[in-house]
This record gives sequence, structure tokens and C-alpha cells, in this order.
Amino acid sequence: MENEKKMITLKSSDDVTFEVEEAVVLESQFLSHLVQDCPAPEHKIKEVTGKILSKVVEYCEKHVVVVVDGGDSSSSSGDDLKKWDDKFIKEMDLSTVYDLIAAANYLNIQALLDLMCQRVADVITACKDHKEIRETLGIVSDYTAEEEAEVLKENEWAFD
Amino acid sequence: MARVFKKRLLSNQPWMKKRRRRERSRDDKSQPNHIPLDLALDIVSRLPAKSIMRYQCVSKLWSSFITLPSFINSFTSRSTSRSPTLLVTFASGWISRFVFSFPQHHIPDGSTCSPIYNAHGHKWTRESFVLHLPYEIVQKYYIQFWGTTDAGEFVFAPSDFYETFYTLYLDPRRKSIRKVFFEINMDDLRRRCGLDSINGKSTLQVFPNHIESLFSL
Repeated sequence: MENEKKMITLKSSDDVTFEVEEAVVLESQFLSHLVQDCPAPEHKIKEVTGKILSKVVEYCEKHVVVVVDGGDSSSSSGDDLKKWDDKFIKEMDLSTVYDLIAAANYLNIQALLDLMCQRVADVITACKDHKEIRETLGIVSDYTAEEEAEVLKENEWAFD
Repeated sequence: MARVFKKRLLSNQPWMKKRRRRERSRDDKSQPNHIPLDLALDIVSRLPAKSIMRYQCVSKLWSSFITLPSFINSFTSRSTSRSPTLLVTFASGWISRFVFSFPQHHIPDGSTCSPIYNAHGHKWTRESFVLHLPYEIVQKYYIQFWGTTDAGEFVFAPSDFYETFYTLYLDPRRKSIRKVFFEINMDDLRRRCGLDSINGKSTLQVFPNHIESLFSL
């Protein structure tokens, strides 16, 4: 309605504040409801730390800008966005990815959630065997040696 | 049933625990500690079937999730939304049948596909690359119609072959044909599978529009 951009302040669990445009906040279903229901200038997000919230804000800002710019939804802006997404996840360790999954789930940002889940899936797919998957995800096996031998034999074809 | 599993998972999920330990050392107390079970299963359902089989070997707990009917269904619906592949099986004699799947789309005319993974029974493969072969070679085979792809192309392939064969994709609307060359390294197959039975001609069957599923688990 009005041209002046409305700013909203988000505060993380550890009291780091981020001043963002309302459009950025609307990327999150959870926050857009929150902003509608209680029109305070500042919102505390107790479930998300500053470190993770900064990543969330970075992602949402990028995606808002591209969507607004690429009004004709040209494929090049889609490609650029994909490249940006790739770079965004490449620089991240798995523990940050998990935190972002939890945050995206809580804040209800479907595209970010998809991106992060796919990242973990890609990391698992790249593992050549069950031992590497265990190591990567820190899973402790609850198979006995005999059981493990049996399940390995059953699924032999899945290992090169 | 799922409820019980959920409790067990959330309280006893080692990959989360490990993270939590690291988290604590960074004095991050309020950080959410768990990926909810439905999201963890969402992640696993994104894996190709072959990786899921490896995942089954990771732990009993995960194996139990992967074999739940609800998981198998969600994998199938995700798999349905991906591009279907061309399923190819062949047998030499009656002893063993080999199964491969190849991408059905995005292979340019004149490409070569060769199975890389070999073992008994099941096979999922990569494609390898571009070689042009003259049309005379195609005429050496007895070509049979096997069905249509989801894109409406007719699939032709021989009903038997020695080490190589062509699959032809005929687009009736554009009147164009894609020729895709398949090459199977029989020596490699014999060596890996320890079978001497693969000799001479192999009979071939081709199933277009194959979608990976876990129902046979």
C-alpha cells in the first residue's frame, strides 16, 4: 500500500538483533502470522540463535530480492538463485545444516527446509558404504556382528 | 507404532547426540537439538534406492524405519515425481538375469550407455558417453517394439544381443529417432559375478517408464 518499506526487528535467543524489511519476514509462514497478529516492531525468536538466524535472514533476503527483481521470472535469475543456493550450502558444516533444518521447520520456510534436507540427502548419497554414513552422521550401530553380516549380505548389491 | 518409534528416536538418536555435545561446548543452550522424525525420514526418502539399501545397514533402528509401509509409500510417491528410467534386463541361459536402469530422457542422439555396477539381480547405473555408430550396425539386430515412454516416444530394442545393442526412441510426432548405444562388458560381468555362464547371445527385455520403489524389501 505505502511505498516506504516497513522494517521489523528480529531478536535471536542470544539477543542478537536483525533489522529486516517486512517482505523478508514474510518468507516465513510463522513470522508472517506473528507479524500480522501482533504488530510489535521487535520479535524475539527464542528457538533460534543469532548464528543461525543470520543465515536464515541471509537466505530470505536473497530470495526476496530475486523474486522481486525477476518479475518476468526469467530463467537466468532462477539459475543465479540456484548457484547462490549451492554456494550457500557448500560453505556450511553439517551441524549448521541441522540447526537450519530445525530453524526452517520452526519458522516454516519451506524452500529453505527443502534445500537443507536435500543437502543432507546428498551428503548421505555420496557416502560409499554404511560405515561412512555412520561416521558422517555420528550414528552408532545397534547391530550385532552376526546381524550386520546378514543385512550386508542381503543388500550386497547396493555396495560397489 | 510410529509413536513408539518416535519416542525412541528422539531420546536415543546418536547423530543428534553427537551434535549436541559439540553444541554444548559452544555454549549454545537454547538451540533446538532435534530434527523431528518426520523430517529425518523426509531426508532419507530423498535418497536413491541404492543408498537406502546402504542406509539399512547403518543401524537396526534406521532399518526399522525404512521398512515401515508409510516410508515405502512416501518413497514411492517421491520417486514417481522424478523422471522415470528405462529398465533393461537380460539373461544368458537360465541361470542369472541382470537388471539395469538407464535414464530415459536427456540422452542426446548417438549416446552410449554402459552399466557400471554389476552384481546379482539388481542394478542401477550411470550413463557414460558419446560415440557415433553407423546405421548399418543397427540393422544387424532384430528390433522389437517394447512400449512408449512418458514423453510419448516409442521404444525399440532387439530381443537378443551379444555385447552391445541399440535402443531406438522414435518420436512419432516429430518423426525423429534417437539412437542410444548400450555396451555391456561381459568379461567384467563374468569376473565380478564369478559366473562362467554368460556366453554367446543374451535375451533381452526392456521396460520403459520404470519407477524405483522399495516394495520388494
